[in-house]
Amino acid sequence: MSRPPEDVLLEIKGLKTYFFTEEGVVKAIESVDIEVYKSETLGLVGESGSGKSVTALSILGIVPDPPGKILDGQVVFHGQDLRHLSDADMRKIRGNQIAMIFQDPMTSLNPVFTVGDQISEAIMLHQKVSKKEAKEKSIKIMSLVGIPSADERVDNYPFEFSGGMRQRVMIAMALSCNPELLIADEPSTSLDVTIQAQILELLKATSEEFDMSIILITHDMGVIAEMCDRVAVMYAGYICEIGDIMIIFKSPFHPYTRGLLGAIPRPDAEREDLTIIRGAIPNLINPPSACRFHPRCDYFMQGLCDVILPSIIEVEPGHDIRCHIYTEEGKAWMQKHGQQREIGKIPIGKAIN
Amino acid sequence: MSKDYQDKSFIDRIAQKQQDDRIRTIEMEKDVVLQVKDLRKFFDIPIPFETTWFMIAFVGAIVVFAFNQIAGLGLIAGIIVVYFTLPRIPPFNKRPKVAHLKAVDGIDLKIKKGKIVGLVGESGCGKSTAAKTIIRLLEPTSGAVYFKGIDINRLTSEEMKEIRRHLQIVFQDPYASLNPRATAHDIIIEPFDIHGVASGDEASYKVLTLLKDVGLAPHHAYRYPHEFSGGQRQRLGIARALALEPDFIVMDEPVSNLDVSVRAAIIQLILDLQKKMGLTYLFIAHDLSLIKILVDEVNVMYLGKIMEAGTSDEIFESMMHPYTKALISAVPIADPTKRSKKIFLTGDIPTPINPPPGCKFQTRCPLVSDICRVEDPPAKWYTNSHVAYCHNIEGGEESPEFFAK
Ligand SMILES: Nc1ncnc2c1ncn2[C@@H]1O[C@H](COP(=O)(O)OP(=O)(O)OP(=O)(O)O)[C@@H](O)[C@H]1O
Ligand SMILES: Nc1ncnc2c1ncn2[C@@H]1O[C@H](COP(=O)(O)OP(=O)(O)OP(=O)(O)O)[C@@H](O)[C@H]1O
Ligand code: SF4
Ligand SMILES: [Mg+2]
Ligand SMILES: [Mg+2]
Repeated sequence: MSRPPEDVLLEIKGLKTYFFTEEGVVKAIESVDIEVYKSETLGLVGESGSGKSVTALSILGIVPDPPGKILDGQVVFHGQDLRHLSDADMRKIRGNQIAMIFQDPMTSLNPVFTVGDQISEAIMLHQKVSKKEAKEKSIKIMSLVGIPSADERVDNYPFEFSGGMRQRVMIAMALSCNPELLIADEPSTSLDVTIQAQILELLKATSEEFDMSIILITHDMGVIAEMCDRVAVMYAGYICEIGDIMIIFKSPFHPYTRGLLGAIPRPDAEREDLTIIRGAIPNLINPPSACRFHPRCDYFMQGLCDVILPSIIEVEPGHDIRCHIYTEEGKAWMQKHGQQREIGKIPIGKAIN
Repeated sequence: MSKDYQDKSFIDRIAQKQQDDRIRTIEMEKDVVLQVKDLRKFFDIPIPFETTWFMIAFVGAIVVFAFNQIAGLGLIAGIIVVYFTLPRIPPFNKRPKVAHLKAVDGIDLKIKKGKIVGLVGESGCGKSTAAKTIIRLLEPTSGAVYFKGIDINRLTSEEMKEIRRHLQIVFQDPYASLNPRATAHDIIIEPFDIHGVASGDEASYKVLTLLKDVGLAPHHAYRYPHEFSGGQRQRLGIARALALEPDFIVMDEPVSNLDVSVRAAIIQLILDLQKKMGLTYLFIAHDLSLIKILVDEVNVMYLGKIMEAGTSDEIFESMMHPYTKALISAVPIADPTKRSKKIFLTGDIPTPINPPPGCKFQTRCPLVSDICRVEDPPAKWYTNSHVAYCHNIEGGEESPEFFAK
């Protein structure tokens, strides 16, 4: 279900971002390739520390430096590589065409200014409007994101808002300039489920109304299933699988995706159906060689997975995998050892042979 | 074993003291290990009075001025008059006013042996407070907790120590609940020391067995909490809770802070241990998809009160309460072919400080009517295990006895 190239809004190619810390070099993003299409919602899912937030910061060119550095790769937006833009040009794109909602809403709102001031400022930064007009716009956008009696609450300070309301303010600020792409980093993780449902609904409705693309970052497979058109699964600095949501939830090809989906309670599952991924998330200062998932993988091919990094294989149109089960080298290994490891299309929870 | 023998005699001893008013015992239904009756826990919260301060100063100034005008008193006399007419209002009476934060406001539970009973609800609804009050880490404001028939809140601290070993807790945040300067070995051996269960080599041997039971290796014994991963720390917390071979363990969000792949392993461990040792759990969580597959019974809490309780099937398949319906509909389902329509709640979430009378859910409830703002909602029983508290839902019987036969 791949779409024509002219539908691509953002393309990340071979992104590599490291952090040079006192303890050593944190190889946070080793190689990330993602395409985001116009007006789609792409999920970026992975466990803590897999590099989701750093990917987002890298797209916007706001990786804290030092200690962070983007070492390689391209971030192509509307045909131009954002990494080659001047700071001034980049600032114009940020907030105007690409907006971001950060993981922690309390730290990204300034406690000493009113909510209205902060939204107005965001508007005035990118649009030539007077202070009064900006405030009117702020009120309008606050009621758009479902803040009741916005004309009064515009003069409140962030601490006077509940967590869900603050998150709405963040969304209001992000939407204030009609961005083409919204990067939402865990927009609902710290919220209660009833509030989360409202925030996700708000994102869905606004993306449809404004024809906006969203990169939705989360570690919750449930949120991904509810919200996204496509999903990219991240593990230890690599994208290991990317494809259509329906396909990936039905028959994931990558052992990690299968593990991840097997480890969460899916509807109709029983206690006994929960499967375990053994081992733990690796330390990225000293990550495992080649395929970083290999020490935890049930399908590990010795002498291959720990030696050669698998290349990206398109197993079906629009469905990319980085795993040796699908590479030529892997097929040769399986033949040589007389073993079968093809797991694509086998329902989750069922083992091969 | 001597330990079992001692415990039995202790519980028998207490049971024989039926006549002793100090300890209240009750006849418990068969299989019920722990029963909670109308338990409340309020916290006293000082009301900050900055705003009242200014208000009073302002009003005071006007009153003094008025007095001066009318009575022709001097300024000082006016202030004195005002001071004595307002002695009960801060800051005149020095002590700050306190309000009750009703963290737990009257809950009932019956926990049967060998079952996993779930307690769910959103952040701040009082789950952890309820858990701590149930095992008497906090003293309740009112109500009773009966463990094997004994009212534990009436025991002396010596007696409580004996009972304590049967009632354990695994905390939400494994990092905060483990002493950072003690090794795993010391952390697990501590309860042995406190209760004089084992010492020396015997104790160390028990530590190693426990580490193995929770899936840690012998060489982990001499590591400090910060040298463990989150999942390993939670295993350590579980090992410590198991040390005294308890009957009943409260699991307060044991996996909420863990990564998905690690979470499944801890759940597996919790279930295995339950099977092996015949444990009974009160399992607290806010992840309803996990609760659904894990627990036998579910209690849904909102602002300190239980809104609905029943077996897992009753709550997830035929819930009655409007809050339960909204809560369950809001849970994201990990299957894109099952995107469902959500029930959205509007309205503000009230604070548990001096909450409004009537139903706690009134400010957000889609079914709210006038009576909800005045009267506590009645219990409506749908089976002898399924109860919901609401004025405006259909059907239901007044008492579970209706379904007795
Ligand atoms: N400022 C920094 N200095 C050093 N290391 C960093 C910094 N920011 C991120 N990292 C490291 O980069 C890796 C990826 O981090 P990132 O924040 O992208 O994870 P994430 O997938 O967003 O996780 P989470 O789900 O916890 O938000 C981690 O190992 C992290 O420790
Ligand atoms: N020691 C305390 N003093 C005052 N208030 C408290 C205290 N402990 C808890 N509270 C309050 O009691 C209420 C219930 O808190 P509790 O920790 O039991 O909630 P919870 O349901 O466990 O929430 P979470 O899901 O966030 O863990 C909250 O409003 C909380 O602020
Ligand atoms: S009692 Fe009233 S307010 Fe409470 S849940 Fe029922 S209908 Fe709603
Ligand atoms: Mg992050
Ligand atoms: Mg809690």
